[in-house]
Amino acid sequence: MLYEKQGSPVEILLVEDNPGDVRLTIEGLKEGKVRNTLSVVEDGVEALAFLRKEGKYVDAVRPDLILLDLNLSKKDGREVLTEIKSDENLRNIPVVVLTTSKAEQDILKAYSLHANCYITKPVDLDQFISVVESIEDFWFSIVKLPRDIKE
Amino acid sequence: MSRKPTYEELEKRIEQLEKEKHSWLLTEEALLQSEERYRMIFNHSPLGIVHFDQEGVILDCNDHFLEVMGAPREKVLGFNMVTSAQNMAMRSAVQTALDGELGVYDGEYRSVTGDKSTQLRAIYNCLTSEEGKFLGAVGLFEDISETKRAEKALKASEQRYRTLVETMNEGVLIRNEKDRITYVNQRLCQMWGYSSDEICGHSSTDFLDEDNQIILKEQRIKRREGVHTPYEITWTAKDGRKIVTIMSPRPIFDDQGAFKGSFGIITDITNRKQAEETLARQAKELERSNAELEQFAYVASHDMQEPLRMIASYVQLLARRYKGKLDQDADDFIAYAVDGSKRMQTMINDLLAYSRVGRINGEAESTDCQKILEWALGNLGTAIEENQATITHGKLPTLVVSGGLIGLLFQNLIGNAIKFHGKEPPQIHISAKLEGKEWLFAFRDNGIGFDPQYTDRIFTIFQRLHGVGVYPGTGIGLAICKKIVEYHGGKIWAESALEKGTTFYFTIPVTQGNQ
Repeated sequence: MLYEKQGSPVEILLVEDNPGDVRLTIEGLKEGKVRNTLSVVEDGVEALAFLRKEGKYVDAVRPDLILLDLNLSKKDGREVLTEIKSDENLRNIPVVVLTTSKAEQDILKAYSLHANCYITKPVDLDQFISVVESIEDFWFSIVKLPRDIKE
Repeated sequence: MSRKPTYEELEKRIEQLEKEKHSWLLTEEALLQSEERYRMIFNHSPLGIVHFDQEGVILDCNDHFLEVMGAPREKVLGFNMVTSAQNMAMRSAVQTALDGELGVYDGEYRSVTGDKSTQLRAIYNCLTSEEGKFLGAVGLFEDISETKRAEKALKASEQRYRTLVETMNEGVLIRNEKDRITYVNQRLCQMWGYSSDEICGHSSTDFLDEDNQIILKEQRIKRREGVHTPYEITWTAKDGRKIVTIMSPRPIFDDQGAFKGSFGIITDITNRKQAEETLARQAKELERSNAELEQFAYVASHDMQEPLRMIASYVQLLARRYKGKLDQDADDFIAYAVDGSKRMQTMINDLLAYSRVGRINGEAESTDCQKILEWALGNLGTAIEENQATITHGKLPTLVVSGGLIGLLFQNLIGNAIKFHGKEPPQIHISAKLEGKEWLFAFRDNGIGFDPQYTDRIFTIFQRLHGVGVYPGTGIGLAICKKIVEYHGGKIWAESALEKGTTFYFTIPVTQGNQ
C-alpha cells in the first residue's frame, strides 16, 4: 500500500509484558498487509528509555505508532501515557491503548490522558487478528500522520 | 268586797287582755311554725328517721324510713323493734339505745313489715326530755346498698387486677417518690432471683450495674421532660446473671398532681436478645461468606481468563496455520482443543456475569416494566424475527427495582422461551398481578416444556436438561434469573410438562414505592 510503495516499513513500538500477547501481536501483524518493523519492550521504564533513545536504545528508531498495554511492571501504562503526552517531542506519536481491561474507569482515564484510542483485546483469536489488521489499516492507510508531512 | 270596776278600768283591762291575747297568738304561731319546720326536716330528711317508745314500739317515722322498710305507714307504726324484728343484731342495737347507750347496726337487713332486703346502717340513740324524762329512742337509717355494691365491685376489680399483676408474664414494680421500691410482683421476683422482701425498700439502682445505672439516670431525665417511651435496660440478678429487659415506665401523681413515684412493666427479653444476636451473627457470617464466594467467583473467573485466552488463542492459531497440513488426528485433536477452550471462555464469561448480578447494576429506582420489556424485546430482535415469535403482554406495573437487572431477567426468560420452542412458532404471554404484598409475574410459552421432576435443577448454575449439540448455552440463564429475583427479595419457579409449554413465575415484593 502507501508505505510498501515507498519501500519504507512502518515503525511500531509494542509495550507489552506478556510474551504470549507479544507473539500474538507479531502473528497478527504478519497476516496484515502493511510492511512493518515491530520493536518490543516489556515495561514502562524500558518504553520511555526507548522513546528517548537512552542507554541501550541510543539507536532506536522513532516509532510511527505505539501499542501500549496498561498493566505493566515498574511503570504502568497510565504513567507511560502521561509522560509521552507531556513530552513535546513525543506527544504527536499516536498511542493505541491495547489492553484486556473493559473497566469504564480505565477507558475514561486513558482518554483523559490523551490516548489516541482505546481497544480491548478480543478474547477470540480471529477477532484479535482482525483488530490488529484494523489498527494497521486505520493508522497507516486512512489516517494522515505527522510523518507524512515530514517526508 | 270587790267593788264594781269603772268603765275606764274595764277598758284598760280589755286592752291589756287584747295585748296578752295578741302575744299568746304570736307565741302560738311561732310554736306552730317551729313545729312545722321540724316536721318538714323530719319528713324530708335523706335519712330514714324512726321514733319508738320505751318498749321499742314504733310511734312515728318519716317517709324515707318507710321506703327503706318497703312497707306502708300503717304496718310500720306499732311494730315492736325489740320483740318482732327478725334480726337479732338489730334487736340488740335497739335494746342498747333503750338502755341509754348508742346502738349501731351495719349490714344486710330484711324488714319484717315490707319483706325488703337492704344494706343498712342504723344508729339508735335514747331520747330524754329536758326534765330528764325517758321518751324512748330515735333511730337514723341509711340505705347503703349502692355504696356496698360499689365497694364490692371495687374489691372484685381490685382482686382481678391483683391476680392479673401477680400472674402476668411481665415483671411489675412500683416505687415511691423517694425512689424506694414499694411493690414487686411474683414474676419480677422470679426474674431477679430475690424475694419480695429483699427487693422492697431498696432503690432500683441497687439492682443495676454501673452502665445501667447511667441508662436509668438518663431515662429519668427524659421522663421529667415528658418522654415515656419504653427503653432497654439490663438488671443484675441475685446470682449475677444479666437480665436484658424492656422497661415501660409510667409516673404516678396524686389528686393534686404531685409526683408520687412510678410504676414500671418489665419484660424479660434475654432469650429474645440472645436469639436476635445469634441470628445477627449468623446473618453476618452468611453475608461474609457470600461476599467471599462472590469475590472468589469474580477473581477466579477474571484471573482465569488471561491464561485461558492464551490457550484458546494459540490452539486457534494452530488450527488457522496448520489445518490440513498435519494428519487427520492432529486436525481432530486441535478441533477438540479449540472447542473446549471456547466453551470454557463462554462459561467463564457467564460465571462473571452471574457474579456481577447485584454487584453491578444493583441500584433500585422507579422502573416502568413496560419500557423494560420493550428494551428486552429490542435486544432479542433477531431471535424473535428468525423464529417468528409472537410476544403479547398484559398491563405491567412500575416498580422500584434495578432496571438493568429486571431487563436482563425479562430478556433471559423470553430468550429461553424462544430457544426452547416447539413445532409451532413461539407464542409468549407476559402478565403481572398484585397478590397481597407482592407482584406476581408469569411468562407463559407454548414451547417444548420439561419434565416437572427437573424443576429445581433448571435454576442451578451450569445445569442443563439437553445436550450441548441440541441446544447451545452453558445453562447460566435461569441461574442468573434466580439470582436477580432473589436479589429483589422474590421467588422464582416454573410449572411445566413435556410438550405442554412452560410458565415461569416470579414475585417481586412491594417495597416503598412499588404499588
